Amino acid sequence: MKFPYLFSLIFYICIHSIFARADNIAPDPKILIAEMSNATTELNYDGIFVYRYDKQIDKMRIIHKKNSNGDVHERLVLLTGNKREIIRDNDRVKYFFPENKVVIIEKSKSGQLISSHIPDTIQSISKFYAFDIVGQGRIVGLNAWIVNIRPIDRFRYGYQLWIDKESKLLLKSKLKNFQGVTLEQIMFTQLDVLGNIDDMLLKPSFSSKNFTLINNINDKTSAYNVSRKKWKPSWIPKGFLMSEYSIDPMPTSAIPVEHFIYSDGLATISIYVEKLNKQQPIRTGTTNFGGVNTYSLSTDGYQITAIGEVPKTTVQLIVNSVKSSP
Amino acid sequence: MQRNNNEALSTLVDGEHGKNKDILEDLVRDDAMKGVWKRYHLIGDCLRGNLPEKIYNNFIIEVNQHLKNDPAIISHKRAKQFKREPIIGFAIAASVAALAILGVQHKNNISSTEIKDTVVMNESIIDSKLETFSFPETHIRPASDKQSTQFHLITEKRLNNYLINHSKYKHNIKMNSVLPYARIVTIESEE
Repeated sequence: MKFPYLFSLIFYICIHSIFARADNIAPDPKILIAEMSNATTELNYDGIFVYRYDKQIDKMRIIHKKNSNGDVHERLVLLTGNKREIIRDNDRVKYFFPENKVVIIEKSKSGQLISSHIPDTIQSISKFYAFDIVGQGRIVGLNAWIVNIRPIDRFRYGYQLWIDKESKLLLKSKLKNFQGVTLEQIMFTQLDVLGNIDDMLLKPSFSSKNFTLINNINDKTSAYNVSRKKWKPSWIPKGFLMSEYSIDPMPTSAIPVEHFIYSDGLATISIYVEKLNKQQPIRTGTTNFGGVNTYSLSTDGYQITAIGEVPKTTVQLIVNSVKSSP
Repeated sequence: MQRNNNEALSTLVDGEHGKNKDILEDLVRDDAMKGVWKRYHLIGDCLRGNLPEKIYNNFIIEVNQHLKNDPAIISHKRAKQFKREPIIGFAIAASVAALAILGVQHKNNISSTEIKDTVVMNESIIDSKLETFSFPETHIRPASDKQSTQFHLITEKRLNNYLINHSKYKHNIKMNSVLPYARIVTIESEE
């Protein structure tokens, strides 16, 4: 009579240990990142995260919603310092700077770059980055896989990601240089994955009536198809391909600016070539905004600037290699 | 006993062994003395400007707590029993420590109200005279950009516009979709 009980107990222990192990078997990091990329868009969530770079720490709230018709709405609110907000409705992005009473409207270009075959894209990225699951962690009360993305050379940055085991959302990320020093970090301190999100939560908290509107969506590029010098970088890090070229109007520029966009799949580098009048001040040198480095120089009445989530050396080398041909 | 040990330690930190040479042996054995030894060195580092780049909140709270509790600093009656030079040294060190802590916070561009949110400052340590001290305005930008001239405003605005424009180009993998926006909302004000 005791045998069935013993058998049941052994069976239960086996099944339990199999499931317990399954929960701890590390997934393929590339598939995990593809799942995270998908979850970031597809899920509805409301969270608070801290953003740290240099010696500064800021706190922000992100609310993300995808409607049943596929429309994506997002609101980012800066909770420390100036009360700035960013509202995104699909590819239309509004930046509110209330301290200057300015709203800037931009059109996000993500649709033109997103591949429908993300795993294939990750495969191509693998030539320049090594992906590894390095452990497990716990962020905002959720169990996470820790993924290291290490660059193969010093011309790009690496990443360390904490991805929620259940929802696959990104809970924490660190941008690291080649030596492993953290340059920039975000970490959620509160995160709710929700079935639905009230549309009221996606509205800006102030009216833009008294704001100066800077609309950069207008397509003025065709009006400026004047003969231009052909600028081109003669050096770009391996793996970076030109994904787009545009002539962008800028609020501070009399003439639209030539814009070359290069990407290796993870990092993006923009090269801006702007013709300036003799009276216009020209910036030269490097600056950084968190993990983004910029470098500018002037040549022949033009200001050439590279901006990207890459090391300072990379933007410097790129700008120094930009040459024109008549 | 404690007082004597502190005095001996202070002379040791100042580069003098003092009369009691057994202090080194006591220092190895006594954890409390090790703590005092560390704090005296920290104060020395403050004076010499050798503080680390990053000071974390709990660290500041801990230093304040120690400064508050340390009889060598706040108890005037006890201080009379010390030699004159160490007393002056500690008084300056305490002031510099408070200044350094304030300086670190100002360097981080945190307003006074935010300091209250993040760091519990001990009122008794912050001398009212220190509050009138003016600190040079610091920015995260390179030294050449610090002058608030029209020239720099124009070039900064231009660069900020480039950054906003750059942030709209997403890469294939939506790895960290909030990060480009986080960078934008934390751009320094152009006012």
